[in-house]
Amino acid sequence: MIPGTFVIMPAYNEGRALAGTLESLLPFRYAVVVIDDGSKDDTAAVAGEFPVHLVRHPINLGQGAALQTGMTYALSRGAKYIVHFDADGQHNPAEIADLVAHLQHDECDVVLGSRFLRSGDSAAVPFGRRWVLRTAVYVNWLLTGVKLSDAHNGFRALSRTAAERIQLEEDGFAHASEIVAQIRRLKLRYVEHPTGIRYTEYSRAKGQSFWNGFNVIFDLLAGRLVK
Amino acid sequence: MRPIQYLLLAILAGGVAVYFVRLRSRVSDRLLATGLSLLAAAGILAPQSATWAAHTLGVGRGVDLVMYLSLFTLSYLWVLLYARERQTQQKMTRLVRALAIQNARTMDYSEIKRAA
Repeated sequence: MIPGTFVIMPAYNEGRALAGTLESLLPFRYAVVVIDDGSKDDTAAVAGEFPVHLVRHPINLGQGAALQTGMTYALSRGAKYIVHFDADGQHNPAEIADLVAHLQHDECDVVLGSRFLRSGDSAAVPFGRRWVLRTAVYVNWLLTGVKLSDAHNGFRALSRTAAERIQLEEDGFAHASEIVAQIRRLKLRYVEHPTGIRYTEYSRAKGQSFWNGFNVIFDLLAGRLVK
Repeated sequence: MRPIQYLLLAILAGGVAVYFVRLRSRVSDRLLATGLSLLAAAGILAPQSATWAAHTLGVGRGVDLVMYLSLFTLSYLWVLLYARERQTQQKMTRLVRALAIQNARTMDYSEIKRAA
């Protein structure tokens, strides 16, 4: 447990996986904020049975909007460190402390998880997905001007200062690139930290498809043209 | 006058009426709308004027010129609407966020049914 650490978990129709994810996360005794993003299933009911903060969007807005809601909420509760964590159980809660350690030592303002810094982690990424993500790295580089080893990893840690300054306006999945663009614009210090990932049938089915990548690119370009 | 001219004028008049009665807008928008309507009316009443304008600009037919201008205007309107839609979406997001945070269940151990 690291005092003042809030784990932000957006959840949209995650009723099936949420209990397992929370059961493995809660023993680490962080403050957990579940943002139910207008789910149609029992996500809120499942979250309600656990000792977590529960923020519910009355309608579905998208993952980016849910993350921003979680950050705004956590900041209002006095968070010192904010961790983005997926509800589907693909991230390892034991690694949260490693990410936050970078912030505690004031090495940076934002820590970005990466599946491609250790060969063992990248090998765990299914072949097709690996190539989609490799391509996404270059698209992201073009769009944001920052070259990272992993383009769309939902595992991140932010200092309070960084969370106060970053304002996500992309409600959908384009937020992942938007965060990187804002890190650059706000001149925040960042490091990439190797993280493992568990791919299950469930998380694979929930994950973003290749075609959705085009939606992300469209959102970003359109968002840049018309503010 | 040919029948098509009556029909087009009627459609134009209907559009203008709806615009001025239903949509409140700025003076500049109203002036622009008036100007465009007059231009459209002139084009309907004197179709050769479009041909004349087209030839002046180096376009073959008046119909082509009107089509190019319409395409341009439609694209512009599409961008305008998209920007408006994004603004509306952002306002709604802020509203939903404020509501959600206001009604949040903060961690309260008395409510816990299942121990972690």
